Amino acid sequence: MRPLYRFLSFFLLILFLISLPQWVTKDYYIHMLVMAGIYSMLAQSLGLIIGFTGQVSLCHAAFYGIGAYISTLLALNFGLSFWITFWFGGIGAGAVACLFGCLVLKLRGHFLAITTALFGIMVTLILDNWTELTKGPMGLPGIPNPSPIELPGVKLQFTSRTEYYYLVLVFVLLMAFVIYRIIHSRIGKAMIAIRENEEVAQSVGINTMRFKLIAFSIGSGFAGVAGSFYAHYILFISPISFTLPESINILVMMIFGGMQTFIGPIVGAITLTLLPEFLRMTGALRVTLYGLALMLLIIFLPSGIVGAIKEKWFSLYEKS
Amino acid sequence: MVLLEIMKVTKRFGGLIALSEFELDVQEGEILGLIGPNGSGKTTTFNVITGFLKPDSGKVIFGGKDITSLQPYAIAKIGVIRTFQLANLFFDLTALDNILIGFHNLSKIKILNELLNTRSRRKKEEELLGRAMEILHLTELDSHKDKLAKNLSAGWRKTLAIAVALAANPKLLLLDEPVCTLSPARVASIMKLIMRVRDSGVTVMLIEHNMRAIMDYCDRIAVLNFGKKIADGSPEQVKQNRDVIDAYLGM
Repeated sequence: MRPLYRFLSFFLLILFLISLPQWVTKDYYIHMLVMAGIYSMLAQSLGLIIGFTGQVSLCHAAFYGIGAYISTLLALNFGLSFWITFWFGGIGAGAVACLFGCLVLKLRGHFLAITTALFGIMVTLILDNWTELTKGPMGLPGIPNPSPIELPGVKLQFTSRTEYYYLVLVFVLLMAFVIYRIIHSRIGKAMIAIRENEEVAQSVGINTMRFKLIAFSIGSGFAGVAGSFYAHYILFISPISFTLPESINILVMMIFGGMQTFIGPIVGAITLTLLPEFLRMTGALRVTLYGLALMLLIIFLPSGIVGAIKEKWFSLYEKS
Repeated sequence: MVLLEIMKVTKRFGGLIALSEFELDVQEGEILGLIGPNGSGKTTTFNVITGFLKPDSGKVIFGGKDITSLQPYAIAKIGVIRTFQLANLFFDLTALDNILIGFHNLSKIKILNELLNTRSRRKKEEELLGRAMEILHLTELDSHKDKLAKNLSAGWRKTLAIAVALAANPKLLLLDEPVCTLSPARVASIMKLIMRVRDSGVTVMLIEHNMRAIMDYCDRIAVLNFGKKIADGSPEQVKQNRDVIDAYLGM
């Protein structure tokens, strides 16, 4: 019964997502949906690193930025299109993460958190000051949108937000698929073991450094892909979008949704991207209410929305 | 045949000498007991063997190979599996999940299989589940399989730790106080389990304070005091050894 339910609800969800632009016609709301998609990619990739492997990375936005800048510089200087640059953005970010990870993943807990935060700040400083390459705080404008592609029946030019919406949907789903498979594989089991108890993991033969590197590289590489997408969507990037506060923003989305679950980070990303917009009606109180909501959530639902739902589900299940 | 050789191992913690030119051989197929007063260096010995601590001097040779400088996971991979003094487990996971993670040691991960969830992978998962149920049965943990490790009583946690160690396919099993704090009935059933494990081809070395368990079940006993080996022989020999009585049993 269970697998059928799952498949049906997934199928309905996809139908809903595909039809969404039919009823959400306002361009501004479509833009919010695209941003929700980008943050979904960022939150779920961070979920792999922190939620499943237990490695606190506070520099996720730095890799988001590295991916964006690699992509942009390739596009502006060599005329390469998004379809090529996003690979470089992702792999580039992943490679930097791998090198950096070799140095710092032997650190644990608070020390790792601080070191990654400092790395993020370092990347921001480089982006701000290496003006010959990045034009610093002035940013890089004029990024081309993805070159048109022909699909059976429709030609996509990526001049409307709706086209970007469908593109981000594809990216989010593909990324989710890969992360889902990793989580449910033996690689995922090893990551969970490392999160739960590194000593015991070592004592049953798990090469903890290797799996931490895998999680960190893949997670950060995916952030790079998100950065690439962002660049070819907004068509302008500057260092201010990739700072430590942004890393924390992504972290909060992940925790809010439920970081030890698969769907949690995505739910968190969508909710926290859309919520501030709904709170817009409350005017000046907006930021206060947002902060209050977050505080209440951390106090009463520390395992996030999805985490709490799962726990309730299980306790009901067990009673019957 | 000698399976493990500890050769003149010295380990200092600042001014404290935990192990002083400690030497010990472990014969294949035996149950070797390691005893000594508190603080004599027993757990340090385990930590040095399994790579959690590096000795200041000396070597550890396993199956002819020098494993002194290897990482703990690498030593576990070649078959040296240990438990910890205070049943170290994946506390927020179920007993079954704990054991399933123990199987990690068994075979290489095939990436493509994992990503595509091929039929061969699913079959392997089923096999492993079956094996886990066997181990649960062997250790009498069947009824606890879905309980979170942190919710098990101290005694069952110790048993689970042994179960996880068994899952990792040990050639040499190092048990750190496996029956400490357990009731006499549980002690007997765990020690009998250890005998069965040995009979299936695993060499066992155990640290214990429970003299009954040590004397009744060990083939050989080594005694540590202040980081040095002061006796090494059969239970009868050790029981009558003057130095041992002075240091330990007499207390």
